[in-house]
Amino acid sequence: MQDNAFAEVSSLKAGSQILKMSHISKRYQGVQALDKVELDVRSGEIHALLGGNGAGKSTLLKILSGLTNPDEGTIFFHGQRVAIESPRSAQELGISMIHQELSIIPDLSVLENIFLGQERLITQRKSWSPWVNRREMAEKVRSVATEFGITEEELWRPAGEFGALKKRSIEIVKALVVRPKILILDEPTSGLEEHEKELLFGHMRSLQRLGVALIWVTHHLDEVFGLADTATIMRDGKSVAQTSIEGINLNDLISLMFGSQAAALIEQPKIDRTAGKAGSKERFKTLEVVGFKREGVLKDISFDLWDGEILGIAGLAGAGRTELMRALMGIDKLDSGSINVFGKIGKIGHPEKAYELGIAMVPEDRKVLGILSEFSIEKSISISKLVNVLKKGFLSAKKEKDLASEFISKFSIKTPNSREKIRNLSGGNQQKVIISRCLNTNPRILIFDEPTQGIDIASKVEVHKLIRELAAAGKSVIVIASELNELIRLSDRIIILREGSIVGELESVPERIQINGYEVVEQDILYKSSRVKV
Amino acid sequence: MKLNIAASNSSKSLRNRILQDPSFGIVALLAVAILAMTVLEPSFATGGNVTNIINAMMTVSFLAIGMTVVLIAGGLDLSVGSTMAVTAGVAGNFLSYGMPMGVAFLWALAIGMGIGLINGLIITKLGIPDFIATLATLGIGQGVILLWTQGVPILGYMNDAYYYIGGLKKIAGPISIPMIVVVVISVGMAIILKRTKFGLELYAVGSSPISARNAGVNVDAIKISAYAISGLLAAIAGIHIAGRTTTVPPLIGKGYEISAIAAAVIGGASLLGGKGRVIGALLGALTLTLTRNIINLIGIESSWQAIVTGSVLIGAVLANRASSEFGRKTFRRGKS
Repeated sequence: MQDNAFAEVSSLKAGSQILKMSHISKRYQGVQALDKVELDVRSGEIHALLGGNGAGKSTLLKILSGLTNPDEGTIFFHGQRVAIESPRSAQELGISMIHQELSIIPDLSVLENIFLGQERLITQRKSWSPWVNRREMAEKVRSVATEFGITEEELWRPAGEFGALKKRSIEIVKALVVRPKILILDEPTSGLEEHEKELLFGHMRSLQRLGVALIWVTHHLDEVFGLADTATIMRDGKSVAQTSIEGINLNDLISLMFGSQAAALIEQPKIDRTAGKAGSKERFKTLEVVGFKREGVLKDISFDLWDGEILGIAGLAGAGRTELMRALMGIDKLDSGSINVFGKIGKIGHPEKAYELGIAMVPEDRKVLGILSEFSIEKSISISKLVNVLKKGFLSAKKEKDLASEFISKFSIKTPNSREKIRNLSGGNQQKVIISRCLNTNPRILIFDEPTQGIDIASKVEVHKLIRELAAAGKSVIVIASELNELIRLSDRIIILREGSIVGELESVPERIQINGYEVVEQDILYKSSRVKV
Repeated sequence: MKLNIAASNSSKSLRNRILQDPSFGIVALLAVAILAMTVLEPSFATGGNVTNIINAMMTVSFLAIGMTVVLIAGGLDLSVGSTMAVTAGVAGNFLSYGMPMGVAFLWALAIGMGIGLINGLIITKLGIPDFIATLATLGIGQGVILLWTQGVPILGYMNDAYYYIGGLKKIAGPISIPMIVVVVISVGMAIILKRTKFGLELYAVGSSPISARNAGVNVDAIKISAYAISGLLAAIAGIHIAGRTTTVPPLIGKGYEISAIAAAVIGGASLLGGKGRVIGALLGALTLTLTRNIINLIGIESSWQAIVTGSVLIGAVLANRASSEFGRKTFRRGKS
């Protein structure tokens, strides 16, 4: 079992076309998710699949891995036309996928997770035997598992016992152990530490040498250079370009990914921000965070927030950004630390208290944490402060409607009427409703955790504009965004977190961009937020 | 069938393995109850009473094993009591018309399994939640048997062989056919759950259907099979109960779904799916039957029975949780 696990695929002629997806179209509930998409992949290449959120990458990969079927289009595998109707038929063709969201089954052991659904592929036997032989599976799996730091002992433990990092390793082993011909990696490095990324990249290279085609989705464009050979770029459900990575630069990629709208995204704020700027007016400290500590998550964090300011919090996944905001909102208990909001000193033990003090948050992961999907727009907006819509102690339908109408016109929320259920709105419009809900509590401090997660570029620009307007109106805003580009373009000031500590601060970000250029600012933040040079 | 993991396992003492077994809590609870009763109540530990208890737990055991399979797959089958009643009626009625016993029983089994398949298809193909779908078939089943019998019990179908099959006549000493059937089914189902792909996929589907689908498991087929197994076991329970009670009143199955769920949950199955064992279902059935027996023996008014049973359910689940918390770190379902 220790011999070359990938001998079979190495016999393939490197460089020949292994996969061709042609004219793939798919509609979801009236939305054209994919529009005549083309994807050509050669064996032995690392093929980056790039595009903004909602560009259609996930849908395309779902089709390729058999999780959904296209409405139109054909797939050729080694020149043969194939139908990939189920995950199983994808597996049998030799298409393996490492999913973006963790796909680990907690009640099964690590070993069971690895071989589940692919017993026959692992044993390389055509067997219809109903039995599972865990010992045999362990033999087959062991060598690859060990490479990814899964010990013999751990193979037999329930996967639910392990953290995100180990779960990711389990998934990688699961994908590699079947000796795939095409390996799909959807954001494979999310949640991985630097050295684990390197380990994964090393494996990607060795698979490539063995003739495996890798289709790689990543938002970390800097990772693409030096690793990927080719890139297919998608935008709005179309494949807009296929290009060799050699001889292309980051800016070219970005403009291919975001098209003409990139200009709008990258454009400097045009709103008059003098109201919030130092010098023009006495600056007013709205929030003082003192010594936030939480075992293993936050290490003595202190910072100030001023009125009319957009403060960006930068940091890699796991740096403690979201945890810091949760602590500020009183969702998680702190070991120690206090805040000073407009001279009121104290602790926030409960989100209600945060709202009372004038702090409101637009949470990360709208679908899970933010929206009450069955609620109408009216109810969604009024829920956080029902006092605003009371009439003689009862909820007033008219007041609810008026309130909702006010926000609908103010933020141009696209909806047939104010009673529409929030789940029927597009992501961008849902986000605007949630922002309206926060504003209805009349907060002085607004926290945005991943404000543009999962919404398209146009809505993104609108949400950015809205955030800038709020700051211009004197509110204090804190923004967390994984996309560094977004964070840098939006913030006046950025503090950088690493492993629960503040490791750097950048004042007057817009001026810095003007003087030093965007790249320098980005490099600076990346350098500080990771331990390694980028 | 021991797995060769001795190297990693040698450090684990027998004592730890017992303490960390997920059923340790419930076994301890049962042991305390049995010990106390043996000391306090002379009529408890007699051969007659023990046989009584074992005979009385057969029906719930069949249903609880089927329920456990469904619960592992992340479902819930409320229709088992009504399916049991329908199949008991089919067996009794067809026999009373003079149909050969084997054929009548095959009909009952086929109908039970058919109801299970229908449950599974409604849930997976029509996308109706498990609770609602099986609540509906529970009602439909009850209605069908009421219409069919016009409320009159089915009787006059017993013959000598059926006395053996129902367990009223023993084959050797206290051993009856239902006992053998329960043992065979339990061992068979335990092997299926632990040693086959189907068993593994059952746990996978119940634990995380989306991840299971990503891994290439046919989630719908697994769920449908689970319901079919539950229906089949309900039919076995129906054939058994018709032989034990010698008449089939239309409401014979009433309340059995609750007992079956209670037994499965006491045995460690989770309504959230992905957990459960055959031995647990049997221990659960024993707990329920023992509770009833103790209440009868010490002469508590029968109205208290439901109250006590309810309290035992809560207590047993808490005992389970305590023991599984204890053994969580090293609990490994996949090995024996």
